[in-house]
Amino acid sequence: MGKLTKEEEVLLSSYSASSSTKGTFFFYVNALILSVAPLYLFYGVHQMEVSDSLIVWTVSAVATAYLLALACKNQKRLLKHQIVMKRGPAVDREINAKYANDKKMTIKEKEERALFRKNEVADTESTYLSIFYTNTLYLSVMLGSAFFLLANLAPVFNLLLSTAGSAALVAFLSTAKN
Amino acid sequence: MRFLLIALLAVAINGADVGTQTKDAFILAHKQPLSTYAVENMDFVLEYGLYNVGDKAAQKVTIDDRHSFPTNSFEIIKGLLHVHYEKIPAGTNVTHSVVIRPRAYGFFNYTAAQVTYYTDNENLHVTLTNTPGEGYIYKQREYDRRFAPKYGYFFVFFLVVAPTTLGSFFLFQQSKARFPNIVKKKTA
Repeated sequence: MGKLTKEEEVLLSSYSASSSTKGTFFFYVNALILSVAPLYLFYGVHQMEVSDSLIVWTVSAVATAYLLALACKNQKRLLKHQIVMKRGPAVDREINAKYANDKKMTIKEKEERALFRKNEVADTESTYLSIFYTNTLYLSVMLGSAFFLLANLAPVFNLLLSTAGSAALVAFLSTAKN
Repeated sequence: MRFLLIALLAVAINGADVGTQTKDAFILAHKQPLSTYAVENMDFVLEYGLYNVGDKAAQKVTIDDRHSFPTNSFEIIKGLLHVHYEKIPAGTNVTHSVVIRPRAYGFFNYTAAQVTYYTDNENLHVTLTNTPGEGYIYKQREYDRRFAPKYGYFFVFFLVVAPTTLGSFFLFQQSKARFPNIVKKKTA
């Protein structure tokens, strides 16, 4: 295997599904917050005691965090391509304006820089948008089921269905192909 | 024959009626909490009821419930635990209520109140009310956790969830504003 050049790596990363380490870290932190926060509601509103429900809470938190992080990643992959298309012209213009006076730079080099920048912009934007989208979808489904649909169910089943269940639904919806 | 049967029935009913009738005053008393939950430092309402089911008025009726609510465990907010009625006529009733406030939480045994009355002027009768039995006095915090509005929990929940959700939305908007959509114009 020959070693990849920098341009090839950039080109690869702009079409790859994997996200940057920073983005992945953000996904996991967000998923952790969103999986633990509902437990507080179940403690307060549905009267679950900490000592009695530690196991159920752990199960719910781990499952929810995993599913939400998965959903965010999938969602990001869907959004990234769209965003690259949308932001492309603006990024090109920015790069052109920046290196307008640089006579030494070839057109090819400028294109490479634009490609790199497009990838960067699309990566951050799709990270933010996927988190926002996943969070709002998850929160509305979770709150709706926990306090309206399944409000009269035993708290343990309510917790598992409304947190892990909603996260599973969100993860499932994020696996769409287009 | 039929007439005889009817006559017998009439006699029997009359006899039964006479048998259950009391010629004197006769008081039935009850004691019951009106509040559903007893909570420390919150008002608790109790009701006493006296029914004179006898044929004559009861004289000098007293309800004494001071022994049930020792002042080191209960604070008396309104009403008396020792009341006196000069006379309760036949076939009437009296209710009396007291507002107390438990000072501590835990199980508490509500015992009977004592009722005394005179049927003529010399025959003293002593009777007891029913006993409401053992009840639980809630801790203030336990009670609040169960019954107080839950807005606080939802508020904290949204505070925890908002930074990542709304924060990511604002960051996205910022980035979107930096790279506006450029509509390509075709110039002829």
